Amino acid sequence: MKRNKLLLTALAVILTLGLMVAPAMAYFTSHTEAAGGVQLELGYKTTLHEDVDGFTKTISVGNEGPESCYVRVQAFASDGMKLDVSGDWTKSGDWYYYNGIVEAGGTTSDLAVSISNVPESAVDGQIIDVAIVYEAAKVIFNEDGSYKPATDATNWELKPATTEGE
Amino acid sequence: MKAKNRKRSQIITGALLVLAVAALMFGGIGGARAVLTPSESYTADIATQNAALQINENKTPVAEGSELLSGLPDNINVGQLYEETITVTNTGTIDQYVRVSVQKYWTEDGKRTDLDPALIKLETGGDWAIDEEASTPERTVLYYTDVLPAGETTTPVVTKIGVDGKVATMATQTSEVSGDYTTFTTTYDYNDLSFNLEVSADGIQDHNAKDAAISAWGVDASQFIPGM
Repeated sequence: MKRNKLLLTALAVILTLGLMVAPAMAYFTSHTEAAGGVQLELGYKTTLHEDVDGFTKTISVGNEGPESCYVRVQAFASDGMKLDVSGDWTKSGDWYYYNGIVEAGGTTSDLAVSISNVPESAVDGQIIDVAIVYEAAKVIFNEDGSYKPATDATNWELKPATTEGE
Repeated sequence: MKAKNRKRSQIITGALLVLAVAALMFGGIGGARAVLTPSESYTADIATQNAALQINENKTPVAEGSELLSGLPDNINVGQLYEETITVTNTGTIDQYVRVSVQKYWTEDGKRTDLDPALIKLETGGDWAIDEEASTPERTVLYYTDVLPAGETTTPVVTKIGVDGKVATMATQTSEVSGDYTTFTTTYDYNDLSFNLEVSADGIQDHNAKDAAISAWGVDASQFIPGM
C-alpha cells in the first residue's frame, strides 16, 4: 500500500517534470507560390486573291491569322498552253513556294501567271482556263524562333488547309 | 521500527509532493507568470527571426494577385521556347535551403488532366537538382543545391517555356465544296486551350537543416544538397 503511494507520487513527479520539457522541436519554414496561364490559338485562315488582266493572272494569298503559315501554289492551263510564272517565289517540283512565311494579317507577294502561247485561233470572249491550286501549312518554329525554308518537305507532311480555285 | 519506517515514508512522500508542487509552479505554467512591478520601465531589444521567400519572374517580383506568363506574346509560335526566368529570393532574416515544385498543365474551363503536360516544354537551371522520384510529367521537384543567404536570390530554376511543335500535328481535317472551290478546314485539338505554369517554393532553416527537412518536407534533402 505504502509502496503504491510512493510509486504514484514518484510517477506524478516524473509526469510533472515531463511537462517542463520544452515542446517538440520546431523549425523555421517558409512557403510561397505563383501561377498563370496563356491561351493557345492555333490555325489560320487564308484567302486567295486573283486579278486577271489580258492573259496574265496575278495571284497572292492573304493570311487572316491568328498564326503564321507557309504557302505554295500550282498553276494549270488547258492542253497545249504554256504558262510563264514569275515572282519572288521558289519553284521546287510542281510547286511554287512563297519565300518565307506569311505572318498573321500579312499577304504574300504577287505571283504572275501568264499564257505565253495564246493560240491564234482564240477569239474574243473565249474562256481559257488557268486553274490555281494552293496550300497553306502551319509553321512549326525551331526552339530558337527560326523556321525551316518553305520548300522543306517536312513542312507539308502535316495536314494543310487547302483551297482550290479556277 | 515500524513507526520509524512509516515516518521515513511520510517524509519522502511529503518531499516528493513539495517537489511536484514546486515543479508545477515554476515550470509547468511558466507562460502565466506575471509580477506587478514598480513604475520603473525597462526596454528590451528582442531580435525576431523569420523565414520568408519571394518568387520572381523575369527579374521582377511576382506581386500578390498577379499571374505568371503575362510577358509572353498573345500568339505564341508553336515549337519556339520563350525566355521565362523564375528565381526565388530569400526575403527572411535567416539563411535557408530552398525546394521548388513546378507544375505545368492544360486548362479549358478547369484543369484538363486528359491532355499531355509533356507538350508544355520547360527548361530548368543548372544549379538545381531534380528529384526524379518525386517528379511526374506534370510536376518537377527541384532543390537549390546551395544555401540561400538572407536577402539573396537563386539562379533561375526555370529558364524557358514553350509548346511542343507536335500540337500542330494533332488535328482533324474536313473539306467543303462550294462552286469551283474546295475548302479544307483543319481543327487543332489544342486550339483555344491554355497552358499553365504553377510554381511553389518552400524554404527551410539552414541550421540542423537535414533534420528540419525530414521533419517539414518528409525528405532527406541532403541527397540533393551536398552542403546540407
